[in-house]
Amino acid sequence: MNDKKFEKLLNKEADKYVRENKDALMKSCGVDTKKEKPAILSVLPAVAAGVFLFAFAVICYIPVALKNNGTSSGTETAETTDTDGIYTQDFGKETSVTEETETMFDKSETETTMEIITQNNIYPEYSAIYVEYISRVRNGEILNKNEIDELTKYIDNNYFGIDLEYARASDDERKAIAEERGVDEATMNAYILLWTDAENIGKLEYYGYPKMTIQKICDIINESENFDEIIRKIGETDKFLSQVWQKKTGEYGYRYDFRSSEDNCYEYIDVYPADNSIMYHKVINDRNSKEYHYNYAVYLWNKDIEEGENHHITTDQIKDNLRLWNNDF
Amino acid sequence: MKKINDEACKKALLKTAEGDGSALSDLYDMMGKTVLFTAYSVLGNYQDAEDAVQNTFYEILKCAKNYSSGDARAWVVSVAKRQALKILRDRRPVCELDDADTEYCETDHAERLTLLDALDRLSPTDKRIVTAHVLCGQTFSEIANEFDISDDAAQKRYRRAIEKMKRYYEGN
Repeated sequence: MNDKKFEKLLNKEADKYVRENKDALMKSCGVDTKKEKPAILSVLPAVAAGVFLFAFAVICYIPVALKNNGTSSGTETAETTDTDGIYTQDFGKETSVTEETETMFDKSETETTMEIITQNNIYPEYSAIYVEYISRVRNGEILNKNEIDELTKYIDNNYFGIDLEYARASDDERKAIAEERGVDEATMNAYILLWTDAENIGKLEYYGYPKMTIQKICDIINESENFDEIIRKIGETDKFLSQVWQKKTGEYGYRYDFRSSEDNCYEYIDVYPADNSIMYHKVINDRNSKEYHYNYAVYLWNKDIEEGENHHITTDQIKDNLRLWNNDF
Repeated sequence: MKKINDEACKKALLKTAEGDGSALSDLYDMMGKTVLFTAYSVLGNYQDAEDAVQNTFYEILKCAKNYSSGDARAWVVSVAKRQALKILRDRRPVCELDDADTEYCETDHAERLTLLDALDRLSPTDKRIVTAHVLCGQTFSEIANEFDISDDAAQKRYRRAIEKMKRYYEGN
């Protein structure tokens, strides 16, 4: 079989696979494709049934009416109207699915963040770049290397320290920091969200995962005296911060992605400044073309390690201590 | 691969933004395959890729309003990529660690179509190259750029991967 024919066959199978999944997928999005047909087609069976019922009622009614000397009350007419009313109502329910979805999600989180950034004129020297670049990426444009560099350079150089300080602060301290910078807490949170967003959609898509390794992280831990020093060095070593999130308790966490030396792995560390912990995760995927994945995790650093002054950890120890990650953050 | 008409795609996206469910269905007809295989090339398996497709179209339904102009196909693909990356980050354990070296969690392949199964047997990089070229319509030059290799190398790697797939397919 030649390549072209093979490609055609592959496409055909892929089309079939996609088609087969369509109904279930559309249903999960609140769209029933079977009901998505021109309004007239949806109403026709109802109208036909209505006409039939009406005709049936008239046929049954005439002999009774005649028997009752031709007198008629308004009751029968009202019943027919009711029947029509029910069909109309059912049709209304079908079309209301998308309306509900629309009102449920008035505004995306990112859109709100962008508005806060723009309206509050946050860091005016940078916000113009942010707003422009992020909008362009969201509209499907791919930024060129210089633009991405500009974006990430400013993210790493200007926000890492500031946001980390803010993320680690108590509620009162946060208020003070926000006041000092002349912005409110919502605005500060918007910085963090935007920062993350920019990282996710810009940097990762352009460069792929940065080439940080677990060995480098272990070296940093071994060379450092405390948690602050570790995270400062991690930040300086490679620009690979990928995610910032807030736990329900209000604490912030940071995720640093890196490309594994093994082709089928994905690795990252999660840093929780609130409890001085760093956790290493390794996700293994698709080895020997079998579909499966594992997610291992091990603490590289936590308060116990720090207090016991036994913070030296080797990659061998990590391998020895790898355990199944089975907790919910 | 059939070329996707960007104007039609844009129209469906704008209609979806207005809450038109049938437009989302049209968008799926046009972009479903690209979305599925974009996610598959990131995640490496069909099960997660299907989840990503579902999240992508749900996200499009919610956020189509954010799209204003520009390449509609690229906008949809960028949503798919983000959703796939999210799944990649949030993966949870499915197997005991002790079994790691000896057993693998296999999903049910009974329903799998033979050629897609053959695709699944390629290495992650080959899988991404074949998917990008055959199913997502990327040129070799675009693939070469993404993988930081020459156009020739991208073509050679693609041919080798296709040969592997053919061997598997014809052997079954």
